[in-house]
Amino acid sequence: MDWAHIGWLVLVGLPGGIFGAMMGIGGGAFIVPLLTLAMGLPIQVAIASSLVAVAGTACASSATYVKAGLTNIRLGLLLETTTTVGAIAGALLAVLLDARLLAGIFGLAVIYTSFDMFRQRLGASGAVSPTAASGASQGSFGSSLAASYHDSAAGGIVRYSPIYLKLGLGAGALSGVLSGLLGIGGGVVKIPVMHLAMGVPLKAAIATSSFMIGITAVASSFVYYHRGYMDPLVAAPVFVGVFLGVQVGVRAMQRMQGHALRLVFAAILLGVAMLMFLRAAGVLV
Amino acid sequence: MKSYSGNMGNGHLNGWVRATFWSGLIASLAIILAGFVWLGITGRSASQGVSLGRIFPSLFAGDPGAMISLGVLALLLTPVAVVVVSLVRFIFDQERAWAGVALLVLAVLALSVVMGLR
Repeated sequence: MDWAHIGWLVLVGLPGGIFGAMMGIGGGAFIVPLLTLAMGLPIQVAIASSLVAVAGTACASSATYVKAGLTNIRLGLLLETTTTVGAIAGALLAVLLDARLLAGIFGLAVIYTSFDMFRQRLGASGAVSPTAASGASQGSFGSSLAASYHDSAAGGIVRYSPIYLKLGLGAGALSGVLSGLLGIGGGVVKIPVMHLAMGVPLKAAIATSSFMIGITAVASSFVYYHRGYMDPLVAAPVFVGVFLGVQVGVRAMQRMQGHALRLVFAAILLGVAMLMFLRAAGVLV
Repeated sequence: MKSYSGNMGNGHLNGWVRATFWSGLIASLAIILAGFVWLGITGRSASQGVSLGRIFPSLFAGDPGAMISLGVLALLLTPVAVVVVSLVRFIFDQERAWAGVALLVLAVLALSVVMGLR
């Protein structure tokens, strides 16, 4: 048994867990490039391992968010009806595509994640968007999606009722395809759509996205099993690293200034995207 | 159809879901770590994990790699278990529409699992 190799895989998982917890993402944007560029693993194997790690991150964060009452479980399950289908489709596509093309697509997704971080601002976490208050009636089914939570930053109870469910279902399908294709959580699509279009407050959107990410990752993971790309002896140490990283990241985030943090991570992700483009171009093997 | 102006109506559902997430996470971590300890004790070399369909036969045959594979499977089945407990909770609460939504998600996940077993 090559324990040094196992150790390196745990170390690969660490930044995924740390940065994922600090930024509210699954961590796949860090794990896949590290496994392919630093460890030399085939990208499909890296994606499969990342999905396991992302599922682990999602389980750990979801448990906390559900306890805080932030997760809209009904909304998450509703959106998962299309997200899971998208995830399976994305995974089936990934095993058919050329590895360099996948690397290029991954680079584009990471650039979008980086851009999303540059544009995010803290402080909008508890505000209900005006569209939520004046949104069209969704009928009795939609009204059962209404929820609330206590937000000390906002100074009380925040109530909201999601709207534009069809848009959410469409975005869910897209995020599922990205998740299955690239081994990321898909939160970079889900969170903006839920918060900016569906009237879900940012904290609830992040929490609900975390709930969804685990289910989404599972849907595509078994496709990778079927195609022989899932190597548990790679995925397991990465997951252990991610779990440890989440413990560090959650505590570190509370001590650091969020705005500066996002700028640093956005810059790191841009660097990662460049490396993936070089891989896609055949400059990096 | 019930509407929820707060989290009071979601208390039982939230509790079940949270317990399932934590249980699955800790169980999978424990199984994986036990597998690595077993691997270290036996001193075997294992270049690759065991495929889904061979996990239990390999485990009973004394392959530590199979225990590690079982831990990964336990982690992946945790979100599936969350959907199952949500379905059960919705049935208890007679929320048929939401039970239908959970059942739909479960059906897609089941399709994925069956694909992985082939």
